[in-house]
Amino acid sequence: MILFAIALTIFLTGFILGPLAFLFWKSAGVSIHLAGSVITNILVKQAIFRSFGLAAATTLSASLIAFPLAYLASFREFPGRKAWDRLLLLPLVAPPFVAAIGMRHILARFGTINLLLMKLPFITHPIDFLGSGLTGIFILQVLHLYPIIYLNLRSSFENLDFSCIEASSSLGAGPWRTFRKILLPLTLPGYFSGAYLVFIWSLTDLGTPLVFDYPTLIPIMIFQSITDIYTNPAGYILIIIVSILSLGLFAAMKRTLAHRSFIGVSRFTSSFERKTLPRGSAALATAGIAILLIISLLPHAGVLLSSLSERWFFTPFPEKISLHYYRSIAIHASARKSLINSLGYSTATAILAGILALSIGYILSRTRFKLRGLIDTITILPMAIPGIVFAFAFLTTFTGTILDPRTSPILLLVLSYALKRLPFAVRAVHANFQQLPLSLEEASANLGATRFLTFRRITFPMLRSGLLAGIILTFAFSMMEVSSSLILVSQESRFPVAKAIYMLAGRITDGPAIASALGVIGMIITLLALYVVSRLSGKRSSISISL
Amino acid sequence: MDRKPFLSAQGISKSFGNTKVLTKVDFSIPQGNLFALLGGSGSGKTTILRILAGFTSPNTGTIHLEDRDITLLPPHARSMAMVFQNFALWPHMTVFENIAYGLHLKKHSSADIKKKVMETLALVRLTETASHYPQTLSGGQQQRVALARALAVEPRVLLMDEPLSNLDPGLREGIRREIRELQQTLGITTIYVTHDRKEAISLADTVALLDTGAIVETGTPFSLYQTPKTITAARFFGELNEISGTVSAQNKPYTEINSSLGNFSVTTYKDLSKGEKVIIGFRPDSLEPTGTKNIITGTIKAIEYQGESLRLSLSCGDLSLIASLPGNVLSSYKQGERIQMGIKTENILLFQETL
Repeated sequence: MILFAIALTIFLTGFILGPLAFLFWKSAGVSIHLAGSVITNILVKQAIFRSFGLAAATTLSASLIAFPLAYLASFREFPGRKAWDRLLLLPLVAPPFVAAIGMRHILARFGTINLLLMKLPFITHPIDFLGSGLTGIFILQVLHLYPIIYLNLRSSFENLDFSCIEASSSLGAGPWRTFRKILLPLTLPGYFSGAYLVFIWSLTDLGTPLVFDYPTLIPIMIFQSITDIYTNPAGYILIIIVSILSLGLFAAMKRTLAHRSFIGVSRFTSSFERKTLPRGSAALATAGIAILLIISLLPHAGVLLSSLSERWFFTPFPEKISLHYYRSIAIHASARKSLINSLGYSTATAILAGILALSIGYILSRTRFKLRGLIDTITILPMAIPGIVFAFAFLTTFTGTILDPRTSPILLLVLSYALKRLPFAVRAVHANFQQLPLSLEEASANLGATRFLTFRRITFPMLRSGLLAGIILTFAFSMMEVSSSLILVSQESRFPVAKAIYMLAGRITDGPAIASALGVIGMIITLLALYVVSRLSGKRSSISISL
Repeated sequence: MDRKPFLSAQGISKSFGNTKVLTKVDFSIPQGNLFALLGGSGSGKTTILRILAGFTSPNTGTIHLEDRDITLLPPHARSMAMVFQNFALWPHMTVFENIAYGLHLKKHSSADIKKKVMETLALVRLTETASHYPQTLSGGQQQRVALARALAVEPRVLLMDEPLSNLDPGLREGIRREIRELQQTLGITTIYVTHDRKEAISLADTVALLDTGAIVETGTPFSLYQTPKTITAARFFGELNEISGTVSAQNKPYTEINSSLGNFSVTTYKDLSKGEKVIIGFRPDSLEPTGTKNIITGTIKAIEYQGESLRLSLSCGDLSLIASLPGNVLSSYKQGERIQMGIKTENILLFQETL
């Protein structure tokens, strides 16, 4: 056991701490002078400014959407509440860069909306919805990411000791004051962890700006710097900025929340009745949610339509609907190969992540291994540090070694997928372990079972459904992972789906349509995964832990 | 008790879905009274409290505070502060902030608030914890902070939902006394929900016993314990030996009862007709080995020494009775022994048999 724990520590150090350390060491080699000239470069300055603005605006807007929705779904009763609660998660099924392809069809100068509008008498010129592309990126990110904040808020609201709210009103506080002084502060920890994910996601989203061909953002500049990684220090500088910022934010969040971990402070005893919304307000709420969902799912509809359209030029809707492009995937060598590749990569990733999560969870909660703290910290790192930084670190560390991603990227790719999901999977398994009374295992040992037998017959069966949920989600997310897929793989025969979609979307003829078909397949896989997971656990909480 | 009702409820009914929780509950409470709602789980006691607080609205019925109908008022407009079962102290605020919260709402000046908070803290002897966070305090201290938070706003009515049930048993008695003392000093009208009959008896001016959503009996602790009018109350307030019989004669103040264990003479007078089926009930400590009236004969089935008392399980005919004798007397009872005991006439309760 101890040998296994040591081996695991070495493995984690080697593949998480090691590459990061190497990256920082390399960056430290960039002279101050060079660094200064990079930062003062007008384009770089613009990119930093815009990236931060975008991330801030996205987080803020997603919060503004998620807050009232989560409040309604948690505290008010209205017809169809449970169904809406689930439907609100639908936008998650397509990563923003896939949705972006659909969005272009719907909102472009000669896209569906403009063509429909131009049929009206008073609009003669198409409206430029997408502008330089930044607006489009912003909208897509908000529509894709609000469910993450929504989920976090929902579980915060539901874990709240409701008598704390009632105590406030019994002392004479009106609803608004109770919201501001009691509800908000108590749910801040949950909100922050959601908002942090959204902020970092938006800040380091590589796929969406690539599809919109928008160059002045940090992740794009990092991506482009990879081609001249040995001569151009800009990539390193930007990576360092992003890492310091995200680590700093993460640390700050942990610090503030350290005093604010209220879970378990008081037992949730008080049951409460959801107040039924009056008919008018209920109709209004339902209409609002429906409109939001329709808008959120427009890009998805765009992807679907574009994948089904055999011919679609300058008409609001496709002229001919067929499965032509799905058949093309089978014929088109690189599309077919990418799908097979990704299925393989994701399967390997899911298995690897499952084994890692189970081992780490076991060591953290059931052993007294001395380096538990270290393992815990390393495991959380992929959450604090964006995927793009990891991909970059892998690239710089392993280029020229036996694991060189230019020649054999598979191992690193699978590793980076798995490590990225690791914090979430470990957290879920760890939580499962903690809910499992130790006495169940002690009873087994007491009856003479060995440690291994106890694990196999008692512990593992009780963790199984949680673990399975984690594995399924890991599989789905790996299918559509962007940053590592784009950065680590350069040979076409090894392309994962995300990279194939990116390459196809940039081609003129049938590329975008085939890309859409691949996107739809990815969406279906994600949807199925979310469905199975919600069936497995019966609770939203396990999804929210795993996101 | 002739004072005008301060707080009253009329015809309160409540269902959750198809489950009826309360059926036509009525009560009225004079000002300054401590009114205990006593009942087991599922009796509806907490629902009544939540209806009074305004967290739940009744399906039918009204609530009046003095002469004002407050049935439809939102919780924050009722001036009824609640002490919650789990205390519900806000973990993100210090003890001081927790208590000051309600005062801020009343737009006091900050000097006033400070003074009032410290006064209230002194009342519950927690002045030194003002700057602490509630989760760092012991259960008993948290309980007192919760009480202070409710008292600070000087509510018209104090609502307490099983305030002692989350405390260690050793702490309960002390805090119970403190609550009673504070309540009497401040003269604050209080509704106290509990499932513990000892708590209700020792605290309350008036106790209402609830069972399956209806009030069974209301009265002073003494009357409910010593002279309950219903057999449900008699059973709830302590162990009860029961013997069925029929009325054979009534000569005021005596009622003569005929039963399978012999004839009994009872002073609890009720207007009954001859031949009516009744149940007589008495507490285990009403049986006396030296008694000369109302004699029963039985075989000792089991002997249990409990320190302060000696309990004998008797088998009398087809009935089982319990006798409780003082534990400080050395006795020589043996299992299987046949003995006689008398029941003190004035301690026998009489109930009409209702099926």
